[in-house]
Amino acid sequence: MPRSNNNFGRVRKRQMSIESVPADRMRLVFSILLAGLTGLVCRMAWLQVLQAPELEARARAVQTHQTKPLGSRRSIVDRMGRLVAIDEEYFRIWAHPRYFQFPGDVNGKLRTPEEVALKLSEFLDIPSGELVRRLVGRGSGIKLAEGVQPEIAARIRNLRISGLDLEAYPQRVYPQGDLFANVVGFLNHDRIPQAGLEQSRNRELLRNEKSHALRRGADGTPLPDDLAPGIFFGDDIRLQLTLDARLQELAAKAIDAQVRKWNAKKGVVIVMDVNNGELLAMTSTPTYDPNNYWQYSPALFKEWSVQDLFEPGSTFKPINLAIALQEGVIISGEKINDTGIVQVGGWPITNHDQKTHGWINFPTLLQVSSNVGMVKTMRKLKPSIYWDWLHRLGVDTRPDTDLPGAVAGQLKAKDKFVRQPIEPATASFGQGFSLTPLKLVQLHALIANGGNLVSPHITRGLRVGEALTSSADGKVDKLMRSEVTKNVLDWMESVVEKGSGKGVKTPGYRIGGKTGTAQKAAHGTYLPGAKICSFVANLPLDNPRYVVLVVVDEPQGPNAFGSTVAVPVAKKIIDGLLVLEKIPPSRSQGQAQRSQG
Amino acid sequence: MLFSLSRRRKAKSLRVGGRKNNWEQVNLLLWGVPLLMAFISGFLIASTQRQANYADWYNHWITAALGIGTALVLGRLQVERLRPFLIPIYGLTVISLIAVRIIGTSALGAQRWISIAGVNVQPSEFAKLAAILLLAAVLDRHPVRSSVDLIRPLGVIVVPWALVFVQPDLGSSLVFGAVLLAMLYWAGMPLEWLCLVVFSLLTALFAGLIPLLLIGWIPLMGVLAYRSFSSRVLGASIIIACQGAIASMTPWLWAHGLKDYQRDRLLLFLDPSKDPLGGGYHLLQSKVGIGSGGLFGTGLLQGKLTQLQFIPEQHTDFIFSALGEEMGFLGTLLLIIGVALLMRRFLQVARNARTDFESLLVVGVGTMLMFQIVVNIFMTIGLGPVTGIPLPFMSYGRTALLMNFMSLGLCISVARRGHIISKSKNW
Repeated sequence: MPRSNNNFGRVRKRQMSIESVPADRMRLVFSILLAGLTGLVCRMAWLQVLQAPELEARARAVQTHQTKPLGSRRSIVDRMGRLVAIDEEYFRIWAHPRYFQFPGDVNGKLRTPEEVALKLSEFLDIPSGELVRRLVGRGSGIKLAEGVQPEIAARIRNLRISGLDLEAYPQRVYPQGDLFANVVGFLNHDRIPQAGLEQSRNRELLRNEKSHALRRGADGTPLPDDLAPGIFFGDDIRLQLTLDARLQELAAKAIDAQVRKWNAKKGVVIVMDVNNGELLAMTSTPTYDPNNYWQYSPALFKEWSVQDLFEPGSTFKPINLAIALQEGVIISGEKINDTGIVQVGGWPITNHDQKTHGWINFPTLLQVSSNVGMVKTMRKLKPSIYWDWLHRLGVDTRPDTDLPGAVAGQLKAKDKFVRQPIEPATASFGQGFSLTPLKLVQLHALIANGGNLVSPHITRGLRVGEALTSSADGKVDKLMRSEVTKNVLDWMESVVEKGSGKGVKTPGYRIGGKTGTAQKAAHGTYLPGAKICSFVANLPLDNPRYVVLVVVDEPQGPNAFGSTVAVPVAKKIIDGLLVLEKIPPSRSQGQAQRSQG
Repeated sequence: MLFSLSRRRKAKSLRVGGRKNNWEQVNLLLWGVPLLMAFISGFLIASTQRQANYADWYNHWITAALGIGTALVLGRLQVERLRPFLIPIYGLTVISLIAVRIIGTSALGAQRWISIAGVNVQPSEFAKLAAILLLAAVLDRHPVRSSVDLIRPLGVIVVPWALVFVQPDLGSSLVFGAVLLAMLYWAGMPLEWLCLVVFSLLTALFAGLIPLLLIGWIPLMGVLAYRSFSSRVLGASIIIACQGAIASMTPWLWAHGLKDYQRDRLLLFLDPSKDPLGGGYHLLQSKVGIGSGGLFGTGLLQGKLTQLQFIPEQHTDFIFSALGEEMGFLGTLLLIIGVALLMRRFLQVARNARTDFESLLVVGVGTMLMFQIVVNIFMTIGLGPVTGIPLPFMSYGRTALLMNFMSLGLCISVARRGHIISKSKNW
């Protein structure tokens, strides 16, 4: 064995070897070690055998993350895709003063609420004094601010102050303000829909957010197990309305101005596509701003044009004439003797202007809105058939519509209607029964489209990107012959040409219309001076596409009639509609004008 | 083919003779346990790195293979031949430790690595082995017979210890202390002295927690010293003074001598739930991971918590929790039994070594490995503070793994040259 000459180079035969390392020293060393290892084994047994179920449960608990549904909702857009209702992300700031630290602070150093408040007040428009007041007292879980915008929240996050939590939450925002409030409704503070489509189509508007138990990694990566396909499918489904924001705005402005001018209680404008029942505008005034709904009376939250009944008055006369024509009790060239007064069951019925018009044809009857003429016309029809018609047209049934809260009209019971002659007589000029403005629009659409009862609706369906997932096309119910409705339309055109509807006359366009000035009834009697002025128009008559209804409730003043109150509003809307929908002028009229010019 | 077969048989028949046969016996444990640990750990590291790429698991096996090669070479070497190189090795180590201070890479609040050709080397790992070697040589020449004999070994250990401590690497510096104590004891230091040193820790603990207990405790230390030192009164009074100093210094050291994270770690294991998202997170998650393994574990590469990195630093310091989760109580029990057998073998090898130097070397290496294993596992299962000591042969860390195999190689060399261990002679 070679020997080294180094300092420690002496290779000694062991002197202390087996003798100097006594066995008990070995045993001691080894038993100390064994004791340590036995401790380990005991601990492992404790952890892995006795505590295993509990620890395993905890392991699953830290891995699974129960996603809390935010309750985010789909957007609502108008027919052109303009946003009507949208969820915006806002932030709540929660403070936990017991953890307040700035980035880079040494461990254990705690910042005072004053220091944190000073930094925060730069971004929040809350003075730091107020923030400090909120922060004092509790150690954690203080809701410091709400409704913080995302950019501001990002800046606050960049401060990296520990002890501040930013909680994102969605808030419903209605960019169009009060324009769609009457149909769209709103969500309350707890995001529970309170009115309108938000309420009636809640289930479709809610994103399909199930509460998932996601398995996640420590860094938050979701694990692909236990997940249904499509879980991360981005939901960009929007609920599309048939309403046109521009027309809606135009209508809202026009009706609002008129309601103010006439000191009326309320007003409504409905524009509907007569062929498919799509509502292009449905605006009523007064309304409310869904972004600040709490500032308004809850009475405004329902849409009265759908939920309240009124007696249509003269605007119903064309419908009656169509019924009579359809039943063959009158022919189009026929004349009726307006005697100025007619006795029905002991009640005298006069014209609204107390005039006597003599022998008049049906266009004239509509132009002068002769009540006596209507009574005499509808007398030719058996009351039971007349009632059947009103019933078949759905006056007393709830219209098939997606509008929330739509109600059925009221019609006298059939036996009473048949027994008492006054009932069919008053019905002939649109009194004694009631319906919603929406129903009236539906019936006029029937006249305009050749006899089909279309379903009025304001939603086109759910839209994904550019594709429409489901269409809500109204079902069509052919009730009248198109020759009949064509006749009535021609007569209505004369009302615009020569009668009370002159106000909507538009060069180059054929428009049919009918005014109405109905008495308002309450508790069985007519209220003196309380009128409902209305006007209904169909256009363009070559190929009718739209029906426009304007109703103003209780305009004040002796000069308040359908022609003075409702027609000017309809004029503005028709002008707008012709432009927005790019409706070409009538060929015949256009040629006539050109030849004139 | 035929040739090779016959050769193998020939080789086998050669080994039947006593020495060779024993060689196999001795080294079955010495080789087997570390190899199995390194092998299984490859899977565990792979499991922890499923989602992340801090480390490539196969590097562990590659390093292990390199380590085995080195160990084979060292196993053939006569350890005594190392003596001339001990001081240069020691010197180099100290220089590299100083270099770490200057050009080292920082990570996680400590400066521990030197980057050499793209590979991060951790000199403190080599420092352990270098210190053990030099310490063994010093103690071989100057066994501990009186208190003055303590000065040389202390001098050997204090330089690397201090350099590692300031990195700061609390865990490694503790290893130096443990190795020193064990080797001193082996070299003849009375048990009382060992107790005095170990009990100083208790003194410090009492000073911090129950100062009243010190009234009885410090005199007890004095009695121990009185009984064990040659100059009884002087020894006793020095010890009482020292203990008093420790007791009075501890609160100050606690407040100013420790880094924040060290203080946190020392405290957190007592109550990890105090800060479940911060430092206590390691401990809670590790415990949960081990516990969720149950009796049989989830199976290799199947541990959910492990794969999802709920346990930070799991491929290094917390690798045992991966074992716990994936192999269950049976796996950990087998590991601990294996470790106990390995330790027993180390002690046998130490006892039967030809020279004191070799014997001390084996004791030093054994203590180093065992101390790290025990402290690491205690930390992992929430029984001890988080000290950042890796689990030998299992934790991912190439320097440490290589160094562990080198240490093993030295021990194997000692075992090969040692006295024949027969069953009857077993202590």
